[in-house]
Amino acid sequence: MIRIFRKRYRRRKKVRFGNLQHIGTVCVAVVIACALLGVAYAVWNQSFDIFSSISTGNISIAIRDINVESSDDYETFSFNPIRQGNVVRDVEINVVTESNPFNMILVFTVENNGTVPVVCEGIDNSAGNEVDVLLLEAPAKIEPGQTGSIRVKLARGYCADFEFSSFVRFKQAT
Amino acid sequence: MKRFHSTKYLLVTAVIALILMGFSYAMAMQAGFVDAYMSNNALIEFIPDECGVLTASNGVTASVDFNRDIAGKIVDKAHIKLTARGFYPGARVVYNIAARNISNIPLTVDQYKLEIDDKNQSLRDLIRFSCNVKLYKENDSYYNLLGSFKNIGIDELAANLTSIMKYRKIDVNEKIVLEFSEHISQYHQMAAGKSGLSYKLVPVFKQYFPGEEQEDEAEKTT
Repeated sequence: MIRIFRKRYRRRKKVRFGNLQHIGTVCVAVVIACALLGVAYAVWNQSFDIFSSISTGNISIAIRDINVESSDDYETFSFNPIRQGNVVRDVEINVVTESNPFNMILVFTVENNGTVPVVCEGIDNSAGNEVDVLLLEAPAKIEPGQTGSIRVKLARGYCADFEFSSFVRFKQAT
Repeated sequence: MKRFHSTKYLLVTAVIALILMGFSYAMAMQAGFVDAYMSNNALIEFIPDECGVLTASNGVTASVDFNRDIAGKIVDKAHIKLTARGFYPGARVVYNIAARNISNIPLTVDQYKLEIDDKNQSLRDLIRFSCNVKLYKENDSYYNLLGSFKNIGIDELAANLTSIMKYRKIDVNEKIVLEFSEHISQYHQMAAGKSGLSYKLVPVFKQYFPGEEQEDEAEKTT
């Protein structure tokens, strides 16, 4: 009887060693090993560092408005700023006058949309000597987000359908 | 019978592997402090209250910050971020960077590593660096100036910091302070438009052992 029991038990035991329960134990052991490996790896990879970032500022100026402060005498005078959104792109000027050259003083209202304070350096024009463009007055510094007024003198003799561009030069104020 | 052996073999292998892993980990933790490089934030950490901007040129916005959680609490004292915006020729920013040895072993710097961001390096040749390295001793009661350099390029930065701090003992609870300056010469012509430089300095710390310097020199001579 005992022999029979032993034989059965032994057989059962043999079967149990190969069943899923033991494969699961091995899997758990492997998972724990991997986790320990990960922990060890993480411990050895903690870092200590100094990160630095340097950037220059950007200059972005928008002309919000242009107005005529004063001018020579005239018979008729029209001054039409042409806007794109809230930025003045062009100005159309029509003058009938006996003054030659005709002088006027314009006031540019500019806004600093950049990240650095700027200063107006001067003004250039594309037409060379055909038109006189002179910077009269500009703020010492325009901080980011602020607006400033720039006074410019414009002088031109008789002309028809004359087009020119002016470039107001800005640089970073230090 | 065959099945029994294969499963048992797997189990035994796994157990041996676990034991070996445990041993290797324990040995690495012990011996690693001696031989291997360690850059572990458990050894040394920045002192947020003492890290900041000392001076910044007019128009330059500079700041020092750490990794924070949503509530604004500093979660990681092993990373520091230095930011300077609005740089121009002649501009300068001086940072104060302080770190303390919080471990229970004396440390030294094995080397500084430098990583430059490939996508943001247009100012690489223009930015110059200066630094004073101070070691505060005995509860910060006095300091030793370990060394300094002036007006060097970014390519020499890591080597200069390494040469100052290598073999210098940072004892338990001692504080290391870098007065670190970034500047652009006023004679440089800078291109218009947005440009910048991003880089990461990684000091690699290891345990300090007396006589290490002599051993290294002896190796060099042989």
